[in-house]
Amino acid sequence: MAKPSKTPSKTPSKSGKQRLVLTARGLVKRYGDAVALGGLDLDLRSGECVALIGHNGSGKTTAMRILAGLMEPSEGSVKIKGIDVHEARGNPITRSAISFAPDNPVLYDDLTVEEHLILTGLAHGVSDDLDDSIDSILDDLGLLSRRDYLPSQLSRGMRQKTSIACALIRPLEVLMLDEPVVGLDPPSQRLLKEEIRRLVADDIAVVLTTHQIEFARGLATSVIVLDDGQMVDHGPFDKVVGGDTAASLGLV
Amino acid sequence: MSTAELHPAEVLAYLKTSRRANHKGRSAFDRLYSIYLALIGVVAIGIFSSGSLRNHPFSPETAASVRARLPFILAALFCLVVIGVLRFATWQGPVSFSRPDVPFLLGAPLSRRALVAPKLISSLIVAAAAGAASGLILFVFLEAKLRPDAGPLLGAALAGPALLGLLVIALSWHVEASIRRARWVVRWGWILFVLALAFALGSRDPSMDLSAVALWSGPWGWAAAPVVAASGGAAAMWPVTLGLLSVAAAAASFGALRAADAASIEELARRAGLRSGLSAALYVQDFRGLAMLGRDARRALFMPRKRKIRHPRRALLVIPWRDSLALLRAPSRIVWATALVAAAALVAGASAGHPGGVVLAILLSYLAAARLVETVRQEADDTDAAGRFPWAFGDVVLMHAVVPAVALAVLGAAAIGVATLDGVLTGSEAGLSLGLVALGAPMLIMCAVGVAQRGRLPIELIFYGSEVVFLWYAAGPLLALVSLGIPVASMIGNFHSGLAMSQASSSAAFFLAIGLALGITVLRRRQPKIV
Repeated sequence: MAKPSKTPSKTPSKSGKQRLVLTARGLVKRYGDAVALGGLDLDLRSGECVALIGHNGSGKTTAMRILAGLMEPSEGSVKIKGIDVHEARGNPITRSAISFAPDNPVLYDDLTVEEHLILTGLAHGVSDDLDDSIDSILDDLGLLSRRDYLPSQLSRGMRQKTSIACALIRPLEVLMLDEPVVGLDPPSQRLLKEEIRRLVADDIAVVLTTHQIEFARGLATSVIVLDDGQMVDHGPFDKVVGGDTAASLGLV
Repeated sequence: MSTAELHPAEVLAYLKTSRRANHKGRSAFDRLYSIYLALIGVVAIGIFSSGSLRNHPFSPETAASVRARLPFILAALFCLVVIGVLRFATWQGPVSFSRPDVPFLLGAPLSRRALVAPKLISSLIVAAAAGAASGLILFVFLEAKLRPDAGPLLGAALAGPALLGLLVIALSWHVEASIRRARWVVRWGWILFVLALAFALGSRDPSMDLSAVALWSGPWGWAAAPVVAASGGAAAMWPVTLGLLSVAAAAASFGALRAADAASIEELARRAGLRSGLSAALYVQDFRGLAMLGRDARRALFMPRKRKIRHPRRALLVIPWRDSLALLRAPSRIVWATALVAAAALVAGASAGHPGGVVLAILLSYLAAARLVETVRQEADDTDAAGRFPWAFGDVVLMHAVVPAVALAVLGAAAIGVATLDGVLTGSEAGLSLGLVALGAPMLIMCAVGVAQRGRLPIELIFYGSEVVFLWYAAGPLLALVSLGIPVASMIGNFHSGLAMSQASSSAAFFLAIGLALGITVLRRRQPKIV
């Protein structure tokens, strides 16, 4: 299967040079006879943002979880800096490189919002300016007034923001956001979009899934369209979104 | 469409008819036949049991002793029933709805009273019937063993428990209907438990004065008094207590029915969700799921206190910090672990090396360890959680073992300290024991962590039969028995063969050290369970 072609990021990256950070080849996931993902190739470069779009059940989350090393593919491989994410599961290099915010926020029910950020940040070696970083991220995502709340005291959207904040507090090379705008109100979506833009400008590679094309517009460099597990189209955002496939699938 | 309130009876009748049309249940004849068979069975078992018991009546001395103890025993039993039912009402209660009922019935513009009252009345009837049925069992036993006049005993044994059932179910509705009362029951219910314990202890050396206290102490005693009197015991005031119980049961039932609309939709919906989760967890034998439901039910009443600990600056200390916070915010885990370690120490001391005692002490210690490793279960509940760390899953799991191991070792050391102060252990024995605890506590935590990191019961296991499911759950205790049993057996064996205590202990320490090294190696290789 062909690799998605690359176009320069609309948001200029700091370095100007885009290096390859993640390579996926022939990713397939089967559940018995059912094919959840029927072959996905991806070359992800620093400062690039790729959006996976498709209907429910098209294989977006499966693809994300495999790329993040949280699910074994039935076939294929994902490499970060030449290291196979699944063969070297738990390798500190790959684990430190990928930051993943799942579609269903995974939070500890006995830790506050702030403590989740402390836990994640400290574990990844952020210590000197941790408190400032936490304040800044909480402020950016509109969570400052909820810093002492437990997950059970938060709305779905607030939990989603906490999960995203955890993904952002740590150093990273690849940010993976699965349905990041689900449950977020429009101002929060704008804030998140701004945050992602900043990261891309800082040479971070981003992969996100979304149903909302408008969220990806102006953010995603390229788009991969998945349908029933198959990669049916890929390419630069404008080309794919303005193309026949996305229209025929009713995605735009 | 009119928004006027619908007539609930019509809606419920329609629902009943629709359900019957879609789910063809058993015919009325089949149901009556089942009831008939059940009654025949109960009568036959009753007659057979009564006959067997009558063949071996109590001797006059034993009968006198049982009559003297009966007020305490019955008051204790009834007291436990009361607290059990009230505690049940803090998360379920006499009125429960199914999950589909929430949007279709509770969410509809129907009178809540009309929806709740029939269920409440059913529960009251079932409670009275269940009380009478347990009274019948009591009657069969007492009549056969003590040979009192059967008529009055039958009346007393049916009336007391039936009225108590009615009273306690009516009260439990008031608990279900109010979060404030539910909190009160959770906070102070232990007093009734202690009271039951006191009655049970009082039965060992019964006195007339104390038996009167037991019988007057509350509805549990009022229900017991007629049975005690009819069995030939001292409870002359039984008509008064029966009267009190009748009035209380009637007032509580009337009050409950009047307050049928007192529970909020939100609370009834929450309990419906809990009931549905409970059924699902029981169906797939998922005890972790059950525990999580219990925790959710507690959290609905009490939000955990957000006690804080200053966070560390070093990455490697962050998981111990997180685990310390978890223990601080769930102090019941420490309380349980303390109680279990104390019980293990008592059993170990009393058994004096007897294999049965050693096994029980190890199992109790393992249960204490298992109470302390909740954070590992949290990591295993959702593998995405451990994905936030830069370390391999096995290393994360091992880091989670540090705080529990220290906590368990401190509890063990405290038990040794108490034993030494009490003169059970000499100074040198205490020193050796502390050394063994320093290795034994991490070993037990290793077993508990090893089991916890597996995550919840894989659903496919239930298709392999209950033996496999049993083994899944028994893996932890079995692992603990092997891991600690071998060192302890070696120590006892060496000691009995004439070696000095220090030499015998060193062999145990050797086995424990080997076990620990093995455990660490195995756990470090563990991968998260991913699909």
